[in-house]
Amino acid sequence: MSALGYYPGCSLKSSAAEYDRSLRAVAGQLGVELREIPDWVCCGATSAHAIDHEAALCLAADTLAKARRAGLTEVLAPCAMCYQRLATAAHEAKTNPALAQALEEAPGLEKIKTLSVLGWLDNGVSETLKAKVTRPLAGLKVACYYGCLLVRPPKITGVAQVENPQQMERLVTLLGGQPVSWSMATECCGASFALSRKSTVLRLGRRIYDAAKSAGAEVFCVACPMCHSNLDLRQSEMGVAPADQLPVIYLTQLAGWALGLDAAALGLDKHFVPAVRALAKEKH
Amino acid sequence: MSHATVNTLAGKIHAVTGATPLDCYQCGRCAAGCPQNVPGEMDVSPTRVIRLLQLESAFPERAEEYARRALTAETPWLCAGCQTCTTRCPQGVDIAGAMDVLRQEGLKRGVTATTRRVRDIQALHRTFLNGALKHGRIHELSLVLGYKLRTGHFFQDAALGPAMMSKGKLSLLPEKGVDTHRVKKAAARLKAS
Repeated sequence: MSALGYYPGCSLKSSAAEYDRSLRAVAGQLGVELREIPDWVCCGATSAHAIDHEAALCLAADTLAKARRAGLTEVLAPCAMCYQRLATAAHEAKTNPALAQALEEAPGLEKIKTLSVLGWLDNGVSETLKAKVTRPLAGLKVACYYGCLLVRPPKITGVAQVENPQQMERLVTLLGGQPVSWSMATECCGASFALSRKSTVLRLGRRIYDAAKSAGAEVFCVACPMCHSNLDLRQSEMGVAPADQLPVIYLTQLAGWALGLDAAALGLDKHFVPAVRALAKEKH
Repeated sequence: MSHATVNTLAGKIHAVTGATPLDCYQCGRCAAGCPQNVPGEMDVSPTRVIRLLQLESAFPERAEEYARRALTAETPWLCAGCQTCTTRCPQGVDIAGAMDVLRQEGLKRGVTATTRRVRDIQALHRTFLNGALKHGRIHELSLVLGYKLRTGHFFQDAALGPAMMSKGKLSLLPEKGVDTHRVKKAAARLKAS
C-alpha cells in the first residue's frame, strides 16, 4: 500500500462527514493508505485570511510542518478551502523565509505538496480507478460543479484551463457518467456567507441550480464541503419544488458507487436532497 | 504610474500580494466577473476600489480621503473571496488579495463600513478565527452559537440545526482541542518581522 498524508479539516469531522467516509472507502478500494497528519490544526478558512494575514499563514504552515515531521511529502486535502490554504502557505514559504522562521522550522515547507481530491484522482490513480469500476453510472447526467477554490487562482492550483477545467468531467466519464455542458461550473456559491449573508448564498445557489437544470443535469457532482452544503441544504429555500431538486453528490461518493460500494458506506443517506434514487435508477 | 510608498494602501498591498494596484488600467474585468458586484450588494465596484487606491498614491494631499473611501466601502466585506477577479486581471493585480489587506487595515485603523450586514460578516470572521486559534479546530455548532450570540440572529436557520443533527452532520460536543500555542507565537513573530 502506498501512504498518502491526509488532512481532513474541520468540516469533514461533522457537516461533511459523508465526504470523509466516502473518501476513506474509495482510498481503501484503490489500495491507498491515508495517514492523518498528527495534531493538525484548522486551516483558518476564509475568516483567517479575511482579517489576519499572519495567523492565516501560520495556521496552514503549522500543518505543513507537522506533515513533514511525520515523514509525509504529499497531503490530500479534500476540502477545497483547506486545499487552497495549505497550497497558499506552501506558495508563501517558497518566497518568504520569515514564515518558516516564525514557526521555528527549517526552510523547505513548500516541498510538501498539497493535493485536491480532483488532482489526486485525475493524476495519480485514475487508471486503477477505471480498472475497478464494477457498477458504472449508466449515463447519469452530471453537472460537474467545481466552485472557486479548486481551480482559482491558477498560480496556487496549477489548473491549466482555469475557465473551463475538465478534470471532474474526465473522472465522471471514466465512472460511466455523462457530464453536461453548462455555464456555471466555476461560479461561486457564496461559501462562508452561508452563515453571515444568507441572501447571497440563496441568490448564487439559485443561479447555479437553474443553469444545471436547464442543461439537463440529473445530479450535481462536487468536491467541496461548502459547495455541497450551500446547494444541498438550501434548494427548498431557493424556491425549488421538491420534485425538481437536484441531488448534490461528492465526487468520492460517485466514485464509490461506481466501485460497487453500498449507499451507507458512502454516507449517501446523509443528504437533504435524496441521492440514492438518482444513482439506483434503472437506465434504458 | 509612480511607485507606491510602503505607507500607502497600494504599497501595503504590493508588499503582501507581490502585485501593485497601480498597474491597473481600469478595464473593468474584475467588476464584470464579480458575483457580488450586483445591485443590493457591493456599494463600490472592485474596479473603483482599485481606482481609489491609485488616487491615494497619485494625490498625496488628498491621500487620507481616498484611503478612507476605500476602507469604509462595504465592498471588501461583501467580497466572497472567489478569486475570479485575481484570475482574470490582465495586469496581474491580485484584487482578492487587495480586499484582504483592506479588511485588515480597516480593522487595524478602526475605519471600516459599519452597516449591519458588514458587522454580521465581521462577527462571523472573529468568531471563526477566535475558535480556530483557541481550540485548534472548528466545532461547527459552537461556531454557529457563537455567531448568534455576537449578532443576536438567534432564529436564523433554527430548523436547520436539528435536521442536520438527525443526519449526523452536526455534533453536539467538540472533539478534544489541539494546542495552538506555537501558531499564536509564530503569528505574533511574523507580524513583528
